[in-house]
Amino acid sequence: MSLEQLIQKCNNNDTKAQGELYKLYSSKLFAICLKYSRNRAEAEDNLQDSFLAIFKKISQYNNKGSLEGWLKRVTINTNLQRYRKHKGIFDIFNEEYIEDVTIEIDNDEIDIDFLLHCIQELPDRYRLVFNLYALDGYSHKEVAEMLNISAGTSKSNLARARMILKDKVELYKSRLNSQTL
Amino acid sequence: MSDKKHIDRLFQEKLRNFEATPHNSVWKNISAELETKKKKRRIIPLWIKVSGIAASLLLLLTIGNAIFSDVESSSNVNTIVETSPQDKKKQTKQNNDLNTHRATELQNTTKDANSNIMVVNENSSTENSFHKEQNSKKNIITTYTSSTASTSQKENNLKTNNHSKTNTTFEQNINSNRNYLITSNKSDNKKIKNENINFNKELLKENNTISSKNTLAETLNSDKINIDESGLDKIIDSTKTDLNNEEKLSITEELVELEKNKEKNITKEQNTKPENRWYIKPNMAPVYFNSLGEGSSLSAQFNSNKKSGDINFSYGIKAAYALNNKLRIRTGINKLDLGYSTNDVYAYDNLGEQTSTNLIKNIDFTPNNENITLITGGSFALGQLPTVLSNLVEGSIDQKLGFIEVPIELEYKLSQRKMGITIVGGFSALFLNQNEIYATLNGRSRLLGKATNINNTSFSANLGIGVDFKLSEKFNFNLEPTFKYQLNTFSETTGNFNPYFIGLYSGLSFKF
Repeated sequence: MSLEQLIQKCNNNDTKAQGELYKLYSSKLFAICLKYSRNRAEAEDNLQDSFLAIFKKISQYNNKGSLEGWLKRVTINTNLQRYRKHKGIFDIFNEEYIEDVTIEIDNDEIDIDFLLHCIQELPDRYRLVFNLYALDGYSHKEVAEMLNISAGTSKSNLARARMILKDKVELYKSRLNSQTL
Repeated sequence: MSDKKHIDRLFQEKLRNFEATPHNSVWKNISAELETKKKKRRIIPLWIKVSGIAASLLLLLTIGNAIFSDVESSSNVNTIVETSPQDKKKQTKQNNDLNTHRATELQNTTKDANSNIMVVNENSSTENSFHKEQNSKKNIITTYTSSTASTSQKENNLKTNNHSKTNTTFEQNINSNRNYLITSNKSDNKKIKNENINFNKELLKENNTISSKNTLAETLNSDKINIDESGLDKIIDSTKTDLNNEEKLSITEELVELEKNKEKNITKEQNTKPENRWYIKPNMAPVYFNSLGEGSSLSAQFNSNKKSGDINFSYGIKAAYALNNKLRIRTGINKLDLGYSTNDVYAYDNLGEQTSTNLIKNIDFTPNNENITLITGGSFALGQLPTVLSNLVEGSIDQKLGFIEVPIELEYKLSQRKMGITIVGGFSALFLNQNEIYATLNGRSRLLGKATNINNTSFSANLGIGVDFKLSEKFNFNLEPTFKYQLNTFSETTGNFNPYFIGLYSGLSFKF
């Protein structure tokens, strides 16, 4: 069954086709949900909502662009819907942070679950901005529109997020080093 | 090996190809949600349509009603005013005839007027309350006048256009007279007594209201007027006195009318205006059940089978309360039996051959019927009917349902003659109390079990037209063909199964 046929069947509320689509994309989309959510349980909730949104809106997918890209966008939007309403108290940070946010680290020595955990622990707004800008390649302008904030706020949020993440990773690294020593 | 890198890059590289498997429960939740949505999707559009129609109907009725009641109240005002010109004409004629006996007449009228003034003071202690009462009793007055003088009303209606202007001035006059009657009952009279009648003349020209005051004063003091009249222009006098008499008589007429009404109010208040707000109506109806569209409530394999609705019986009692002359709200309770047959279905006993595929999930078979298999005749090619079935002429599944129906409906009266026509719209709550499925072969039927997909509580949207035949003041015979569309009676149906039933309700309503 081609992807197009699958989409067509999903469009007709064919339960089997919907299950097929879920099998194909759930793990990729779940990864997105994990990044954008506070924890695993919320990520699963968001994945569920995302798929419901996907099946509801699949008629709007017009076979241009990649299906995966479209699915990701719907998933990200579903996640944003949940968290962007939490107005941050962080809007006061409007200055640009120009601190050094580079870190000396070996890719192999760091655990992916730890990184995920670091992201999940970020305050909602920081997490969303960091995900959108740093990991999913949206511009500050786009982020600002998606989150209904100013581009400046997006930038400062990103800077704060980077700082927090750097601190966490460095702490992790120092612990790791102290263990190995 | 460790190198210095941007924090973003660290996360990007690590998370680029990150995938994770969600828990199985996620898909279960999603599919469950999709399943309920499908059901909802099927029901919602018709819900919206039906409720939309009902809402717009209601809106229309309320608007229509508001307009009608407005028209009524405005016409009330007219009729009240109209009584005076009507009376005026009669009385002016009388007055012309009686011009010769003016003096005595005037005395009489003044006596009348005085007595009426007393009545005014006694009856309502203040004329203000009269105004208020008048407002509240406008309807009563109209009903009274319409009942007593329907012909005069017609005349009035014809004359309203011509006399609309005089009406208003008369109304003013009457009002001013009334005010005058209260405020200047005695003290002002004395003052006006002394006033010059030449001045009165001017006032008459200038201001009708003041002239009426003065003329009233004159009539109250008939002796003076007689003297004045002799010295004054007779034409003006005659018109004046005519006016006086007209006004007096119209006032007295009104007062008499009001008095009459007062007496009759006590007896008529219950009878005339809010006539019989309640009625109860035992009713019964043959009801025909069927489905719009091709589908089955039992199984997809029966979707294309011919369905035939049964004619059953519904009976119950309804009670209605009149919100106003046009609109009634009613409720009640009805026993309702529905049934329909899916034709060309053969049931046979598998005798131990467990073929679970043939089991129909929407039927909960009774214990000794678990091996029954239902097959639609359409699934066999012609002449390929199994020998077991070949000698059978016909088979069907009959579904019998019983409900307790509780409707909430609005009745809107279109016509209020001897034969009244009403439109009825509303909803019914249906509570399931009987649920049986029979297999019938050659006329012999056997209870198979019950349907599992019927909601214990469901709703229907109702629309009907009622025809009332008035038998007496209290009793009406009523005939009401009604279409009821069932909204969510069946929870899982296949194809396009949209059940409805039609009932021809008849009943005898008793008003009280």
